Amino acid sequence: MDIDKVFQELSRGRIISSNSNKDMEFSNLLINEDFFDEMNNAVDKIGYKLIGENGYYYLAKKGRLGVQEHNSFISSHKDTILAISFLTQLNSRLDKKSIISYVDIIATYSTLKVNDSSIREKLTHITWMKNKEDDRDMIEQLFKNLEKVGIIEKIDERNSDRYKILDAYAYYISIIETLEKDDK
Amino acid sequence: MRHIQLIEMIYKNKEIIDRAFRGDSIKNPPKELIEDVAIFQKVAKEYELNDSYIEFANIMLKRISANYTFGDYDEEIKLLVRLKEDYLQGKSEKILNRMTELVKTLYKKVEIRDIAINAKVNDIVLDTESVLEIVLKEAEDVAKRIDELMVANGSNQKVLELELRGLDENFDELLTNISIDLYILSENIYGYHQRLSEFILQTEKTKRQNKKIASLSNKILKEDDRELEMLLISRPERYYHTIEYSKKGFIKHILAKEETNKKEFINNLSSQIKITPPKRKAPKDDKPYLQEEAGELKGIDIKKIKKNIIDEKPEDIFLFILKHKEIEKFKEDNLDSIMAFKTFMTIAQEGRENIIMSERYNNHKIKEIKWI
Repeated sequence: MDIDKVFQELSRGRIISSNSNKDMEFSNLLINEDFFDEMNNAVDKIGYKLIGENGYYYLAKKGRLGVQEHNSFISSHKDTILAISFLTQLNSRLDKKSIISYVDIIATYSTLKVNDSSIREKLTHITWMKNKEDDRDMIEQLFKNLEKVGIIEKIDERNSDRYKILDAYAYYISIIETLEKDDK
Repeated sequence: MRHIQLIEMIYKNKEIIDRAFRGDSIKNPPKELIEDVAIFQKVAKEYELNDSYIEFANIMLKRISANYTFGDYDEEIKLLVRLKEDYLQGKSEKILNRMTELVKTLYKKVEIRDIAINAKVNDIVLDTESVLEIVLKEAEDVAKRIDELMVANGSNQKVLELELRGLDENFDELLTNISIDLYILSENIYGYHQRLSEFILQTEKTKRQNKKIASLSNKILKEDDRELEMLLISRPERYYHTIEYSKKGFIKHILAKEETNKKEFINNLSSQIKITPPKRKAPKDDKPYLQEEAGELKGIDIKKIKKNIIDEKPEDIFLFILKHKEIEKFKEDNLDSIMAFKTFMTIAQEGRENIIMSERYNNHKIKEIKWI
């Protein structure tokens, strides 16, 4: 049952992107308007809303959040925004659909942190990090978590260096654009 | 040294030349590459490839060196106009030959410049490595230069298409042939400018976006992020309005344990809805493109003009075209002569076998050409 498969993925708190190779099966289903409406009607019955925009899909909850889920929700958004900020500081050309290299990020970080300690501060502030003494370990953790929430994806499963930025990146950019105004 | 020997010498030393081309400094290149042909030149204590060789290789490889400048060939055009005056005074064959060579050289230069601009625009647009500010500055510089070239092209084409005509039959034919090719190259420049402008807009957007990302992350680090929290936890109705218009819902959250009991959820769901395989169809277009209002766009029906020429066989094709209804509509914009000339060249080029060129010039300094 297709709705079951898609719900399983979305209920993990992931965002499904149209440009993801791994999620192609799900995004191909969700792009179908009949399927989208059917899925939305189904999740609506248990208090959720299916959101689809700008090439990505996710579940939203109708109504208020509980205290615990409220805290996790806020914290996960802040962590992801900091992680995105960390990557854009090291690669100013970053945008959805661009390609990043894990090795390049490590190399640029090593050079930059000599003159700019704020880059390390950003990394240690993210709650995903287990070992805050080891920079390399933190960057590895950052890549793993961004992959888990569906912001980046390995271009080739056999190559752990090159990642593609997925459409879900635009979800966070839309929040940032809402809050931060253009310079006048 | 003959050209074939030069090719052999380059082939014999291909490894060392290629290393130097990729940026290595060479300590002791073979003497023949310094003395017999100056492919290498001494810079401080080491040797680098001669700039002329690098330029040659880049053009052949359709690449562009960092210091390449896109010329407007204003000097060559001025020289052609001066030579025309000299020719009119003495009718010297030598001057005409020089003008012929100059026009051919000018065309080659413009063609090479076209390859270079295309390569440069590709380098900029496809470069994903350079820092955003650097690539943006480079794109703006090249776009500015292309702007200048578009202006220069207009006046240069006017000289080649109109002012230099009427000196000699063969020279006129050369101008006609070259003008058509130059017209295509000049259209290319508009395309490069368009591509670069789109790239600049997108890159500026990314630059603004990066500033905003940095600003919000600084607020998070300083715990001055109340606005972000408020946005995320605001009531669904409020959230609907603040994130994005298209967002029909609320906030993303991590599911509670009882909610992730998928087996039970799916069972409940299956009992409530009947699922039929969906039929694929395109999403509804809720933002249809607005139809553009009728603008001032004007086109020329060259086929119609050509048909009229074939039917009426005028004594002077250019005058016939100039008075044609298809051209007269450009009169109010003062573009009728230039449009008539472009149409004339296109038709003359296509129908070379069916035209006869007379010795007389009309009052537009264009040789009278008759359709047979």
